[in-house]
Amino acid sequence: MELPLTIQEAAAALRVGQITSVELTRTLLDKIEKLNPILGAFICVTADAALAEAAAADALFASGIDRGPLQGIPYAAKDIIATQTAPTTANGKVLDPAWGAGYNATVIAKLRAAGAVLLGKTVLNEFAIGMPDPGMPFPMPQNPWDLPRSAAGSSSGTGIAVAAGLTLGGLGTDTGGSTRGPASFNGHTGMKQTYGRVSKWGCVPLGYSLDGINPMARSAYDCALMLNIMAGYDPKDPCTVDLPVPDYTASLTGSVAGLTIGVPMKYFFDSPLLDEETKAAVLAAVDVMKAAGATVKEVEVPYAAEAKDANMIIMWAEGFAYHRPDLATQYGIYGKYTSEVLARGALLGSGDYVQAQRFRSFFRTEMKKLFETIDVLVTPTSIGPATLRAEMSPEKQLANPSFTGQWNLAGLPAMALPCGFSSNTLPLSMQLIGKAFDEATVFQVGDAYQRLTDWHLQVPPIATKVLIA
Amino acid sequence: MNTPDIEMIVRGLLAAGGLSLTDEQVAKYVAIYPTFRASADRLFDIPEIRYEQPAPIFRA
Repeated sequence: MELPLTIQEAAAALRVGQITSVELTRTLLDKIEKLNPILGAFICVTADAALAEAAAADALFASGIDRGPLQGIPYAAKDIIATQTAPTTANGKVLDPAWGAGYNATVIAKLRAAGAVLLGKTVLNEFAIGMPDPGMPFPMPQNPWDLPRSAAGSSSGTGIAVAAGLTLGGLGTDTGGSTRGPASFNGHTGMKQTYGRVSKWGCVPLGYSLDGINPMARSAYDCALMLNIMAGYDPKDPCTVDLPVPDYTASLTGSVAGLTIGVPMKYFFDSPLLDEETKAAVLAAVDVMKAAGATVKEVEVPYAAEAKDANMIIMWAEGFAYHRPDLATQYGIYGKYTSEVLARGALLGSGDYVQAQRFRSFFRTEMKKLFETIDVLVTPTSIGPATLRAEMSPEKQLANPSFTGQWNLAGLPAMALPCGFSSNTLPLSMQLIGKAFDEATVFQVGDAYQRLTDWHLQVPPIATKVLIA
Repeated sequence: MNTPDIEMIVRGLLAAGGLSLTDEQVAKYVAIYPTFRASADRLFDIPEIRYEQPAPIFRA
């Protein structure tokens, strides 16, 4: 049979005996072996452990035990999350090898208990910040749609692996857009849920008050399946919130009728740096949802540029607090872009950090008021499709507008999903933002859009060409 | 602030942060510092947050 493209399809195929988890896992491991040297998605592949987990999942099916849709489903984890079956490097040489050794992060333990199969650990921007450094002894992430282009970051490896069909789903992290950026550039779906919805325990921190571990998959439906397992209070993470977790697939009715979609033209659509094709694709997606019964209204997100700045100030300050001892003694051991960006935190004063947190309170309240009048916001995810790596720099990252960090600052759920292709065949992406703890509505809108379009099901040609050759 | 002032400030901040960097490394921070400082300063100019409480709340 043809390999399932989505978790949803694979879960159905496993249950009717069209494929076993071992067959699925072995096929993906073969794909990884052929494509990973070209794409640079995985740091480490845990083939033996994966096949053992797959065999265990098949044994459960055979004995009539079904732990839910993720049983037997292969996935990948960003190499900043602790896993029992492999060391954690954070894509660098600075992290103590003892960190994370011999135990699973809470999300990994939950996915394992649900019967999911861990294929390996994926490439990232070192410590989830900066840019890929070719001088480091790790694979260089390549965009599967055009190899010289950026796969974005920091969860680049998971993004590449999902887009190229090397895995059915994966884990990223997101402090200012690190799950949604790769989803945008590589052409799949990535959900940053509400801050506190998923335990961060067992993940190397970047910005303590902003970080999240997030599902990345081809579709909104698949991300909902993953979040169903990942979400929930964890006493090991004091930031998690003890609220009931709904079944996120229950809201996936395929309908947007009766929902109100806010479109913030100012800042998110009027920047001269916003790519015209991206703008047109996102507004066309809004039209699709309007035609499907949603009400569309123009709204304003106040102080959006300042919210981007506040998010970065908090991220730099919190990241610097964590890394300062290592930066002081091992600055040159970090990748060159990592140390350069992390040390920006030294330039901030204590008042700057507190002021950013005061702004955060204000911004959160403003967003709460805005969401009294709408159900979701729609923006572009990035200012354009994947950029050439040769044209990237930390200074450009600092200067360009960002459409993602505002939602880490406010803690709101935000999902990136494909909405078209550029004239040079690169994925374009829109972002849906929802109310705090209302991931269900974000999934509902994203899933309804994906039932009407097939952008999320497109696979980069390299993924099939190499396999045929 | 002129450039020598900025360089002096940046060198002082990096040193206070425990960082001992080369001239080439320091130059990158000197180059971004005015923009960087302006973005932090801008948050002090928002009238609506003059009496706002910060987001982190400590619960004993």
